[in-house]
Amino acid sequence: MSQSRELHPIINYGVVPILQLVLAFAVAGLLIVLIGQNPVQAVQLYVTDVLLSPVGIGQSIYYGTTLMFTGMAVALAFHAGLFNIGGEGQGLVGGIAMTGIALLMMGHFTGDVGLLVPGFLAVPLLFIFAALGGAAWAAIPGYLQAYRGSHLVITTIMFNAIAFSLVLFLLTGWFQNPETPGDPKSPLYPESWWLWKLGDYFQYQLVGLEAQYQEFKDAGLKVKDIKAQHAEFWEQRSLARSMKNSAANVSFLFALLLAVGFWFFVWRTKWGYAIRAIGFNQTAARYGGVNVPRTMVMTVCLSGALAGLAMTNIILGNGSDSEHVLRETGLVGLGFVGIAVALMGRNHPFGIILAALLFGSLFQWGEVIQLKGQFIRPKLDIDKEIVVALQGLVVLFTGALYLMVVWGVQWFARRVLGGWGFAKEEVGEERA
Amino acid sequence: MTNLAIELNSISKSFGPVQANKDIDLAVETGTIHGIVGENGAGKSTLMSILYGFYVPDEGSINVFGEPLEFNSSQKAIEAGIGMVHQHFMLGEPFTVLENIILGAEGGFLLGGAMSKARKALLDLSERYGLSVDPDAVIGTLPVGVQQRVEILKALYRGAKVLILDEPTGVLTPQEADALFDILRSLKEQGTTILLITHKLHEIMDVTDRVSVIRRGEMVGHRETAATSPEELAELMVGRKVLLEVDKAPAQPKDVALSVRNLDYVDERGIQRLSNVSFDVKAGEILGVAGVSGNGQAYLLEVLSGMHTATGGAITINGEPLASTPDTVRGQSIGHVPEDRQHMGLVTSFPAWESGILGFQASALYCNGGAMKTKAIKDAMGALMEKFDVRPPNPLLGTAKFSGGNQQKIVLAREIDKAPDVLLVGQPTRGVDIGAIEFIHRQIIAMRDAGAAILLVSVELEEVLSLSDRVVAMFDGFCSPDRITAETDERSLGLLMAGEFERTTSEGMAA
Repeated sequence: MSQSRELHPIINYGVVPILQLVLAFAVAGLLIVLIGQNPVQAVQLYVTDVLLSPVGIGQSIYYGTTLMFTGMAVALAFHAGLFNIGGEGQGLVGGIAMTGIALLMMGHFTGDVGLLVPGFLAVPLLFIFAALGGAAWAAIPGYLQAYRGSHLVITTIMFNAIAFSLVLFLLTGWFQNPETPGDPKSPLYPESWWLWKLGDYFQYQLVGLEAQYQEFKDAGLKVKDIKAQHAEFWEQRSLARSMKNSAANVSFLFALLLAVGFWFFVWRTKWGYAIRAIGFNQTAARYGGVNVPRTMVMTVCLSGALAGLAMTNIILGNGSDSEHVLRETGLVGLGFVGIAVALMGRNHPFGIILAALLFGSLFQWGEVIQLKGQFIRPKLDIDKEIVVALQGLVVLFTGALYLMVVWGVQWFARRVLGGWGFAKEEVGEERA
Repeated sequence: MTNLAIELNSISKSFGPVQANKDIDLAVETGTIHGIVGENGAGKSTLMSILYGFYVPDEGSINVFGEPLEFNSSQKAIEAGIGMVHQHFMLGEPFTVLENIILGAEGGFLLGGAMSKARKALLDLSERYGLSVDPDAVIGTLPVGVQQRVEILKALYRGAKVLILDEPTGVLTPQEADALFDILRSLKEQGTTILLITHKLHEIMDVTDRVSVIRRGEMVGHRETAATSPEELAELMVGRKVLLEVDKAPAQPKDVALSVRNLDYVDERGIQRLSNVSFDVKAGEILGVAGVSGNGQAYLLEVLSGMHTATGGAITINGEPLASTPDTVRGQSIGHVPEDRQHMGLVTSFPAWESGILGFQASALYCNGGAMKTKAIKDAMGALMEKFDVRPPNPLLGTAKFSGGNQQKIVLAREIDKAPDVLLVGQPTRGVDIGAIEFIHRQIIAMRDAGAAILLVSVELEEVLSLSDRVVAMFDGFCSPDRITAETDERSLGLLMAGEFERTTSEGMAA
C-alpha cells in the first residue's frame, strides 16, 4: 500500500521556500546583532536602496542575469544526478575562448583590424565561443566521471583551480592589455560589441536633459529655482544621472528565453527525458536504451556551456565603461552562488529566475551596505561579506536543512491545522 | 488462556491517511507454529515490525507471555524473548558463524570471553535442535539454507522463545525448504513458538497448526490448519473466489524465435555468471526457467536484453544475431519485463505516462524529432492503463504511488502493447497480490497464443509449472536440459534446481 505525506504543491513550492528565507534572514540578523550592529537598519537599507530604488533594481537584475545562467548550469547537471561545481572554471574558460576570438578579430595578435566586424555579427559569435569554452572545460571532468568514475565534484573543483592559473597565464602574456602592464586584464572590447544596457537609454536621455539644464542655467536660473519651478525635469535628470551606469542589459531577456528553452528541453524532449531518467535511476535508464555515459558527458558539457555564457554578461554587459575586459576574477563567485540558486529554485527554471533575482538583490545589498553604511547615522559598520554569510545560510536552510523545514511544516499542518495543507491523496488500489 | 505466547489486542497503525493495520487481534499459543498469510501490502510486515519494536502502534497493546510489551524498542522485544529471521539475512558475509552470532552481544571490549562462551552455547543449541553448523565457517562461503540456519541460531542464542520468520522460503530450493520445515517442527517440539509469515499457501498447509489471514490491514479469519483448505484461505486473502490453476490451451509452437547456444557471461569483476547456456524458444510457446534466485537468471535476462554483452556463445533472434545495446535489441522486436520493476523497469519518480514509455521515448510513436508528443502519450497511456486494468488509470499519477501489482501491469502493458516477437519476462508476479497475478498470467498466455516466444524466469515454482510449456532450471550459471512441463513435477524439478544435472563448461570441462 503506497502512501504519501506530500504537502500541497502551493505549500511545498510557495510557503516552504519563504520560510527557509525567513529563517536564513533571522539567523543573519542574529549575526548582525552579535557584531554589535543594528539589523533593522540593515533591512531598512535593503528595502529603500535595493527593492525600492531604480538603481538597486537594475543592479539586482544585472547580477540576477549572471545567476540565472550559473543557476541553470548547476540545475541541468542536477537533473542527471550530477553535481557540477565547476561553474567558476567553466565561466573563466568561456571567457578565455570568447576573449581569444575577440582579440583575434580586434587584431590584438596580428595587428590587422580588418575583422573588426559590427556588433550584430560579433556578439552572436562571442556568445557561441563563450558557450563552447565552458562546454570544453566541462567535457574533461564529464568524461572522467562517466567513463572513469572520477567524482565530478572533485574534478570540477580542481579544474576551477587550473582555469584560474590558465587565465592568469594568458592575462600576463598573450591576452595582456599592452597599455596596463601591471594589471592583468585583457584589452577593452570595442564599444560596438557591448550589450545594450538600461544605462544606455538614460545616457541617451541625459544628453537632452543636460542641454536643457544648460539652457536653464544660461537663463540665469539657480539650482533651487530649477528644482522649484521644474520639479518634473529635475526628477528626470536625477534619475537619469543615477541610472546612466545601470548594468541591467538585454542578456536578461536572453536568459529568460533560455529559461523557457531549459524547461522545454528538460521536460519535453527525449534528451531531457534521458537526462532525468539517469538522474533518478541509472539502471532503469540503461534498461530504457539510454547510453548513460554519453548522456552524462553531454549533460555536463551543456551545463558548462551555460556557465560559459554567464561570462558574456560579465564582460559584454558590464556597467562600467572601463570593465568590458576579461579579468582573472571571472564570474566573481557567482558561479558558486549558482549552486544556491539552483537549490533554492528547486532546479526548475521558474524557481531559478526568482532565486537568481533574489540572490542578485542580496549581492546589490552587500554593495549598498558597504558603500552607504558609513554615511548613515548611526553608522552601520558591516562588511559586505555579511551577504556571503546570508547566502551560506540560505544554502543551509534550502539544501542541508531542507527536510527540517519540510518536517516542521508537516508537523504544523498535521497537529495544528488538523491535516490541512496536504496534497489530496490518490493511491493505487490493491485489487485487480 | 495462560499459555499464550503472544497476544495482540486491537492494534491499529496508520501512515498518514493509509491504514496499514486496523484493530488487529491475534493470539498465538505457546509451542505452536502459527501462520500469517496475506497479500503483499496487506499489512503483515507492518504488524511484525510493531511486534519487533520498529514501529509504535497508534492504538492497542501487546502481551508477550502475559507481560505487556514496551513499544518502539527492539531491545525490549529481544529481552521479552522475540527473535526475528528477516527475509534478507542480516549477516556479515566476511565473518564466521561464531562472529556473526555474538555480533551485537559481544559484552565487553575483548572478544575472547564472549567467543568461547558463545562456542559452547552454540554447540549446545546445535545439539538440542539438530541444527548442525560449523562455528568457524565463513558466512559468505555457506549455502543460503545454512545461512538461514545461522540466523535462526542467532535468534535462539539471544534467548528467543518466539521466532518470527518473514517469507523464509523465498530464497530456498524445495529441498532446502523441506529441511527448514523439519527444523521448525523440531523447534516446536522443544517448546519454541513460531510465527511464519508467508504468501505461499502450501507452506501454511504443510507446517502450521493455526493460521490467521490478513487482508487490507484487517484480520479476516483465524483457522485451524487441519480444518481449512488452500481455496478457502485464498478466498479469505483476496475477498473473492480465486482461480489457483491457470487455464490454458495446449501450445501451438512454430519456428524457433530465440536461440541461445553455449552462452557464457563473465562480469566486469571477472566472475563467471553464465556457463554454457543453451536453449531454444519457439514462437507460440513459453519456456520457463526455474531456479533459486541468484543462480544466473538475472544475468541471462540482462544479456538477452542487451544490457550486458555475452563473453561467449551465440544468440540469435529469428535467425539474426542479437544486437548489442538495449535500444537496438528493442528494435529487433524483443520485449523485456525485468525482474526488478522498481530498479529497472520503471523510473518510480516519473509520472506513470513517462514510465509508460521507458525504452520507447525516442521512437517515432512518441517523439517528433526531439520533442515528445506529450498529449498523445498521455492519451495513449490512459487508454492502455484502462485496457490493462491499472488502478487508478491516471497517467499523471507518480509511478511510485501505484501498488506493486499495478506497477507491474504498467510494465507489462508497455511491453505487451508493442506486440514483440520475443518477450522476456522476469518474476512477473513478485510482490504482486493474488488478484493481479491471475490477470498477469492471463496476459502472458494471451501473448503466447498470439504467437510470441516467451521466456519466463521465476523463482515461484508453481508459477513456472503452471504457465510454461517446457521448463529448464538454472544452477550456478548452468542451465539444465529442458523438460516438458506436463511430464515433470516439483520434486524432479527441485533436483535440477539443486544442480543435479550434467554440467559442462563451454570448454568441455565438467563442473
